Amino acid sequence: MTDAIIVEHLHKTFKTKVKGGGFAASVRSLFNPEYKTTRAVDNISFRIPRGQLVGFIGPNGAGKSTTIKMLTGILYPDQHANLTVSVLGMTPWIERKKLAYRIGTVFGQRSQLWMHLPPQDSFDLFAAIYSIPEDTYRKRLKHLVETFEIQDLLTTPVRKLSLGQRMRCELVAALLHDPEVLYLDEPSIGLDILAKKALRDHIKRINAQGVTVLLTSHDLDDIEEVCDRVIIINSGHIVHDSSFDELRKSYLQKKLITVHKRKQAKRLELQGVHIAHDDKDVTKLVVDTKVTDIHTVLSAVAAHYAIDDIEIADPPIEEVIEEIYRRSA
Amino acid sequence: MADNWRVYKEYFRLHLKTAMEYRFNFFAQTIGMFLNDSIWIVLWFLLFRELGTINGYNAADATLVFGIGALGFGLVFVFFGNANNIYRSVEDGGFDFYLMTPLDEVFHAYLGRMMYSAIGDVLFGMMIILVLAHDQLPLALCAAMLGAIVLFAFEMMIDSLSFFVSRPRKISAMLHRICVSVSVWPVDTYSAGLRGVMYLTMVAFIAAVPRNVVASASWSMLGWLAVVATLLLTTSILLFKFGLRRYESGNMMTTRT
Amino acid sequence: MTFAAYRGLFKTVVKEDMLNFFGDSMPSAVVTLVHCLVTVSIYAAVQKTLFYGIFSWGMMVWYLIFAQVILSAGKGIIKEINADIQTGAVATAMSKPYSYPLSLYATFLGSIPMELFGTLLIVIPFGIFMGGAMLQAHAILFGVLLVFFAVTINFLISLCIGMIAFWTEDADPYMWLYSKLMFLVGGMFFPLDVFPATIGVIVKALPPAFIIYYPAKLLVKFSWSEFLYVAGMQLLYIALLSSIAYLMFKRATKKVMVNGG
Repeated sequence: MTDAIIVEHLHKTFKTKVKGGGFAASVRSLFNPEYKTTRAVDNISFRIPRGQLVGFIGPNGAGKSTTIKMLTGILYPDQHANLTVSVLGMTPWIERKKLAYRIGTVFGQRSQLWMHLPPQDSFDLFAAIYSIPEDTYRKRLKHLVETFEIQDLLTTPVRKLSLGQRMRCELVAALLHDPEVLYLDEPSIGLDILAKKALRDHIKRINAQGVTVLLTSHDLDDIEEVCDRVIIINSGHIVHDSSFDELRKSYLQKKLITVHKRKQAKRLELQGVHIAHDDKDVTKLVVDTKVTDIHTVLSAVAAHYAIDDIEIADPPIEEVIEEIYRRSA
Repeated sequence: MADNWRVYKEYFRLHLKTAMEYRFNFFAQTIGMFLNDSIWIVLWFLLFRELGTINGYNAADATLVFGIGALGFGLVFVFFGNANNIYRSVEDGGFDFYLMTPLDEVFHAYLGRMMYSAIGDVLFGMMIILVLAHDQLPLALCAAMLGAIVLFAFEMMIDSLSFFVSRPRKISAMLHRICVSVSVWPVDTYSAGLRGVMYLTMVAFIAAVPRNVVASASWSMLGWLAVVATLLLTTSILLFKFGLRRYESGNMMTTRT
Repeated sequence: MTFAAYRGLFKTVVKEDMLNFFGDSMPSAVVTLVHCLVTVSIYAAVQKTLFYGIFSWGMMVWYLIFAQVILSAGKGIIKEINADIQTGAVATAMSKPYSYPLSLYATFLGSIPMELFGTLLIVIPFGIFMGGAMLQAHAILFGVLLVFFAVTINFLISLCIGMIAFWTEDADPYMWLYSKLMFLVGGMFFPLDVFPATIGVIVKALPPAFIIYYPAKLLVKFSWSEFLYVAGMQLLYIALLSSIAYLMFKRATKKVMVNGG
């Protein structure tokens, strides 16, 4: 079986009670409750082959966490004729405990480690929870401690560790039982640039060992640097599913050129080129590569301006994502 | 597959280790609760001094009920200390953790905390039983443990409310307080109607019935206590699991307009 | 912070309690009712015409009820102070231009009206049913004033105990001991007349007596001389405890400033 995760026609509708504020409304809702139906996940389908590193992006409330919860089996999806969910060959909410032995999770916003004790104790607890035999545990822990470089942290209480150090320990805890699939939910939240970079390397290393990884993050650089594939969810639908480059290519065919001029020049008029900013020192151009090609533009720019310095960049990924949200709304 | 005993030992060890990290606080809580419980002895003594014997009860009887109740309370909150606290993790989403491991959720959920002050309750309860029921020690200990199971069952039912009610904190606290306070006072001195309610709701089986078991030295009464305890615990587990299914449907939240 | 601001704080708490009447105030009221039920029920088994030489059955019922009502009035601030200290919210509060203790008092008072309303709603019918409608109007009128002083004294003592957490990190054990002391020498289960002569004199002079015993007693058995005595003593204790609280708070502020919160 090459697919670690198979999802077909996944739906989830929440029925929540609506209560107005105030005394009278509270009484009313006791006798005549009103309900609101929310479609959190609306007909989602995707397959993730073993060993892939997939990024999940979506605005808050898009349905990401709901989908992940259904994949881990802690939430039941709506009944549907063609519904199929299979993680490592098991239906999550039916064989949740059996599946638990083979999946791992890390939540950036909620620690699974005991705050007042050294991480070693939390590791011992997890070894017990996953029924890992003593010698297997010792060997695996040694290997993980070396890989994630936490030798010096093992006896320090978790609350005294930096966020980056804590996150490495969380990863170790999640990998102790040798899971085949790893869910990472906002693991880089609150980390500084260096720690983020270190974390990305660790994630790539885990994936290189053959672990299928699902990464949710609001940091698009995380996704860009780490993931083979990105799935974008908005309003309960998948609005995009491809590799990162294809994403950029298919949504935004733009290039941003920033020219630092040695002396002032007339406005450049060229088809497919929009002047975003123009003062006596700097001109910013936005090139629509559907209309004109880079070679033509660069030749024109070199001919027109006395160039002191020039930058050519892709549009920031946030713009790409925003464009996708806008188009899918 | 799951080694529950190994997991339990680890949790217990970690709780004690955490306690030792804050040693002063731990001893203050334990000793403080012991003293706190001890003051009740004076209370009962003074009350019965004025009121005389009520329904055959005197201060020593009231103290024994209270001691058994304290021991039961202590046992629950030391060994399954997350009781009456489940609502907190349900509210903030931390409860998901108990659903994501290979362990039974009900078992696992109750291991998440240990109330250090409850150790003081255990010590106090043991002291009372040793002083007032030393001639019936095995019977008294069995009765107290069964009473603890009854209390645990009630706490589990109260905890299950978290899955059905949107802001369970206050109702939870109310039921818990009623359960714990009036069940450890001398139930058999209550007026007939109230006593009837206590027995009907089976709250009387937390401390009052165990004490009666000791007073009448009756192993058969102990047997009935065991039956009630088993029935209540089974019901509470079923209720909790039913609540879990509701939690897993995700339909628990209330949106406020 | 001006008086108007504290009044605003008071009003906010009352309003919030109004919105959560069924969810917050009524559960507390039910607990109080159950405690009344049980304590009255214990006394009901005893056939006596005069309890403690002073109280008739009706008076006894109402005494026990008022004792519970006063004891449960206002939300426990010890836990709140403890939490504020541990989270560091106190340090932030100290750097603001208002008095942390006074703001606590405002929220404390604010938590009383709705809970008291809910409690009286269910407790009064119970009292009338068990003890008869025997209360006198002027006893209630003046008794209410004593109750106000009583909860203030309770607040001040709780404040001092809560502030112990500045030095010991955890005020929980002191909180439990205080509440048990209130039961014992405050007169919750029984009027302080239960104590033999010499002890009784001492116990009746302590602050808890002026929180529960005297106000509850005067509500069921009013006397002008005793009223003036009690009110005077209460004001004395309020002055004394306020000074202690003030000094403790000054010390605590210094400690927080030195240690940086």
